[in-house]
Order: sequence, then structure tokens, then C-alpha cells
Amino acid sequence: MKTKQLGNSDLFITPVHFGASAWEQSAAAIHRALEFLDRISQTAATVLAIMLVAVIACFDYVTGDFSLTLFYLVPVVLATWYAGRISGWFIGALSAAAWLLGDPALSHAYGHPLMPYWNAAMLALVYGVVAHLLSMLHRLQTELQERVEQRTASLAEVHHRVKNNLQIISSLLMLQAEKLSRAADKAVFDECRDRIYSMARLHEQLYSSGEFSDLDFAAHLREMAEMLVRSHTPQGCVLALDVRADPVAVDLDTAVTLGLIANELLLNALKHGFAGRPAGKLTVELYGGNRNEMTVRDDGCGLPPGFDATKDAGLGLELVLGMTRQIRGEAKIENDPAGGTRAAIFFPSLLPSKTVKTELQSKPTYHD
Amino acid sequence: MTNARILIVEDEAITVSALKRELASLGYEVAATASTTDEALNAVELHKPDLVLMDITLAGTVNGIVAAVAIRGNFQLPVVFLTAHADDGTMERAVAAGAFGYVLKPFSGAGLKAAIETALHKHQTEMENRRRSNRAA
Repeated sequence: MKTKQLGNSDLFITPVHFGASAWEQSAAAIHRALEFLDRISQTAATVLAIMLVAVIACFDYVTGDFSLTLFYLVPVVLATWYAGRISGWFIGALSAAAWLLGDPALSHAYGHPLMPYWNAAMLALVYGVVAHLLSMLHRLQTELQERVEQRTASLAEVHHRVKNNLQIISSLLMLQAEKLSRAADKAVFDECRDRIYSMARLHEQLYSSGEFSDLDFAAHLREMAEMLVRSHTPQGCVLALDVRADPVAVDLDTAVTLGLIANELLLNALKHGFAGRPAGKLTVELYGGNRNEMTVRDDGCGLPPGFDATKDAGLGLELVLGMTRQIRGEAKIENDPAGGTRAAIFFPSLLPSKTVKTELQSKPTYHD
Repeated sequence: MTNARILIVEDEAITVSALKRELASLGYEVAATASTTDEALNAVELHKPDLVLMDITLAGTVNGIVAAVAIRGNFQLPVVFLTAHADDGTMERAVAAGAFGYVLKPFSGAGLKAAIETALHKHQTEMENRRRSNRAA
């Protein structure tokens, strides 16, 4: 007898690299199959299960003594999940019958003539129990899904109400401000409205993203900076805004506090940094990491000589220092070596790092 | 287009008051106010405003989106939605209803003005195009 010496090349004719892409392809195929099953009717799912039983029965007959009883669970699961419990029981009984039909071909020597029927009945019972348990699981899953949907709808409604109430508060402040004659007093009310606006935008971001627990602060920071620069750029000053923001995921509480801090820092820069100047640049940065950093930098007139943030702070800075402590962060407000003022807020990562798809590096935008 | 006459359709009285003042300070005239969609449809016929600023969630036989379709179809007026809803589904329905823009609550003066001016400009362009195509036909 001639034998062939097998070399390495023969053994590995088609090398299979079952790497990430192969897994991804398999996962995608399974996903497509599940999507297909979700779309088909209950009758179609039952017919598909019957066909699967027939195929397994053929294999069972051909393979002889090799037991394929476990494989009959596939059509049973399919029928139960996609066509219901009754269909699952029916496919279970059919599977047991198919097993029984193939059994005589194996020429087994049973101690009693009724033994194969008994074994088939036991199989039918096991399949039936599996179908029953699976249908209960399916019902629980459906109920859970309905509850999650109801809760999501309720949360969306709460955010909607919050925004409506913030609108009412903002409107009341506007109406009250009308009674004031001094521009400085009116400006105080306007600042309050800006703070309310900032909080409302966070609720909006949560509401529209569908994620009700945490959000990407970079998107909010950018929107807020653009809005404040549009409405508070000093008259006669051409201002360039540069926002460089890494995606940083934070929970709603932190986002509200950080948003108010950013609001104060931006307003401070806009109110005091560029007074009497024809042009200027405002830079807003947000960097993620173990310790996140948010910086608001202007190239304006800088801090007064001998300024100490802890002693000389007005209400705005006092709020900034207090709120920074609240999020267990650290504030650093100083003159920038390149000129102007630099306010940096360092705060810890409160959430596990996340991949946020949005790219938020921006080019400077100009406002006048 | 300052001096444009605007119909406010909003059911929150405080918001209506703030809107009236904000619009006046921006140079617009408030033609009328309505708090339901039925009132809005009557007011459009009676006061013939240049633009309708309307909430989406309103009392009445129809909601704000359905009323906007009627206003666009029967009176050829631009509608700007004032809403606390910012989800994609609502926005898609608003656009399908022929909304010329939307303002999110709480509104800012700058946002309100930008939305109104854009809507008026788009409406004006649309009307001119329609006139031109009618003349050509």
C-alpha cells in the first residue's frame, strides 16, 4: 500500500486565522439570522422547526448509534421562542417521534418491547419541560422590555416637564427684570437666565440622546461657549472662539455643576477680559483622562495685580470655587504666561471611560 | 424682516407674556395670541399674521403638528415651532408638517430671532419661486 508523506504544507493547505474579523463575520451572520427570525410569522417559524426536525432525523438515521437527541433541542427552542409554547410542545413531541421512528434501524436489543416507546415518551417530556421553561423566560423578557420602555417614556416626560418648568422660571425672571431700571440690575437677571439655559440644554441633550444617565460633556461645553459668545461678546470687539474638547462622559449631577462652572468662567472672561479691546481670542479646552481638565483661557487684560481667588472672589468666582469642591475637583485661576487669564478646573473621572463617537475638535469661529 | 406680525400659540400664560416682550424688544409685532390649536386656526384667519410661533403640545381638537399642516396648506404661512421636545422623532414630524424652523425651550432672544428671520426668508423665497413658476406656466 502506497502511503503519502504529509508535509507541513499538506497539513495546512488552507490556514484559517479565526481572528477578530472571523468572529465579527460569525457574529454578523448570527445577528442577521436572528433578525430574519424576528421578522417571520409564527407559522413560518413552526414550519422551519419542522424542517429542522426532519433534517436532524435524517442525520440521526444515517449516523446510527451516535446520539443526536440534544440536537432536537434546536428546533424546540426555535419554535418556542418564535412561535410560542404550544408550538414548542408540538415540536418536542415531533422530535421524540422522529427519534422513535429512527430507532428500529439501530437493531437495539431492549429488555421490554415497550422500552423504546417509554424512552421516546421521556424525551418528549424533557423537550416539553424545556419548551415550557423557555416560554416563561420569553414572557419575562417581554414584560421586562415593556417596563423598560414605559420607564424610558416616563423619564422622557420628566425631562420634558423639567424643561417646561425651566422655561417658566426663565420667563418669570425676564418679566421681573422689566421692573428694574438700572442696566446692572437687569444684567444680574440675565445671568440667572443664562444659568437656567445651561441647565435646560443638559436636559435636552439627555432627552434627545436617549441616554438618561450620562452624557458627553464636550458637546454641551461647545454649544454653551458658542451661545454665550454670540450673546455676550462686548460691543465693538471681534472675538475668536476656539473649542478643543475631548469626549468626556459625566453623570447628570456632575454635568449640571460643571456646566454652571463653565458658564461662570465664560461669562467672567467675556465681561472682564476684553473690555475696551477691538479683538480677542477665547479658548475653551476639555481633556479627558484619569484626571479631567477643563480650561477657559482669554488673551485679555489678565487678573489685577496681587489677585487672590480665595480672598478677592466675587459671587461668580465664589460659586466656581464652591462648585469645584462639590465635584471633588481643584480650581486654578491665574494669569496666563502668554497674556490674559487662565482658569483651569481639574476634576476626577466619575464614570468608567467610554468611547464617544463624536469628534469635537473645532476650528476657531469668529463673532462680532 | 422686523415689524413682522407674529401669532403666538402657547398654553403657558407666563411663557406667552415673556414671548410678547421678547418679540417686541426684537422689533416684531405680536398680532394675537392663542392657547389652543382651534383658537390658533381662527386667529390666523382673523388676524392674518406673517408668521405663526407655535408650541407642539397644545390642547384642542388637533395637536400643534396637525394644526401646522392646516396653516401651511390653507393660509401659506410659515410656522416656527416652540418646543421642549428635541428628540429626532418629534423634529422629523415637525419638518414633515412643513415647519420652517424650531426654537427650543427655554428660548433665548438670539435663538428666537435667528429662527424667525430664517423662516421668514425661506417663506419669502418659496413664495417668489411659486409666483415665478406660475407666471412661466
